[in-house]
Amino acid sequence: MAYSFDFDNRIIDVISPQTDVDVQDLYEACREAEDSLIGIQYEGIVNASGKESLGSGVSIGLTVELLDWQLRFWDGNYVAKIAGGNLVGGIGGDPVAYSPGVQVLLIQSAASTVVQISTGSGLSTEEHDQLMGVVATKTDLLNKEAGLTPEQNTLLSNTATKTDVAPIAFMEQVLKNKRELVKSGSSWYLVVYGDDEITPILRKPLTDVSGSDIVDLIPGVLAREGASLV
Amino acid sequence: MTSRYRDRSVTRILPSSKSCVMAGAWISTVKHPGDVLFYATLSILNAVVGSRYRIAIAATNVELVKGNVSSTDFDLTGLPVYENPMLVRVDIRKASTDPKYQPFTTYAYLRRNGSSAYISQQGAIV
Repeated sequence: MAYSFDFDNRIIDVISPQTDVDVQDLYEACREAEDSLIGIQYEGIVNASGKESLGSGVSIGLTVELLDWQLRFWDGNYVAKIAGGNLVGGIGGDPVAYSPGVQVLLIQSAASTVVQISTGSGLSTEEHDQLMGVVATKTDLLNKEAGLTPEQNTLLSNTATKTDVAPIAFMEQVLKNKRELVKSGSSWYLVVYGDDEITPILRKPLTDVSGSDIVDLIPGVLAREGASLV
Repeated sequence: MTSRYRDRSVTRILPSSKSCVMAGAWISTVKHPGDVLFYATLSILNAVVGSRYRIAIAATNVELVKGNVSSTDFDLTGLPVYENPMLVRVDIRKASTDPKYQPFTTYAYLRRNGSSAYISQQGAIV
């Protein structure tokens, strides 16, 4: 928005191509002009009132009174609009000066209010809750696709956030590393070695179907792998 | 002109009947309205830093001084006073940068022993 202030003739010129005037914007421009190096030598341009809060983001509308000043649009054939508050005052009670070819639409209200829209996330509480509900549903769907129950997903999440990852590393070693069937005494064991392929990290006794030690490895004898303490 | 008569207008007064009796002439000094009586200090109190101020003679709007506020309280010294006391208008405005304030105007009498003006700016409507 651009305005030009003629302090001698008390005219605020709206600079082309602007055709719409927001009253709040005009008010702020007037205040800046009053504060300028030239403007401070003159009387004030406007008085303003309103914007008192009514609660719930609603406030009274702004009323700007021009103090013997007038707003003048640039010449041309167009419809200009003044909105966003009440613009009153001016010379002889007319806040708008004549401009050839311009039809000015001055929107005023005796009971205007301003509704403030939150500038945070842009969501109301209800919208926020609704969005979070959608996100939760989406998460459930993803878990189901992965074949996990919510409890398993929680366990997985907790496990993934643990700083101690030693059990996971151990499981990887058990799955990947060298393993051997080793006879110790009269029993056979499944031994899994560490990354150095020398140090055993897991030793599980092997038995036959009756739970007895396997004396010798012959086809069909090995039946189960016993549990270990690790 | 000697320093005694600096800033003073000197007018020769026609001899009065009394002076004629004394066979002499009266010489009198008359102050011109444009002559400075003295220089005074105006203390500005409670101004918002960053505001622009202007001090002018209330009767004529002749500007005495203007500038920017750099501290809340400050003194303006050497203000010429043409009548005692002399009413001055104090304008304080701040609308170029946030936080913005409504224009504030007050008046003060400049006297030989100094004077002060208390500023109470209110926030602009946003």
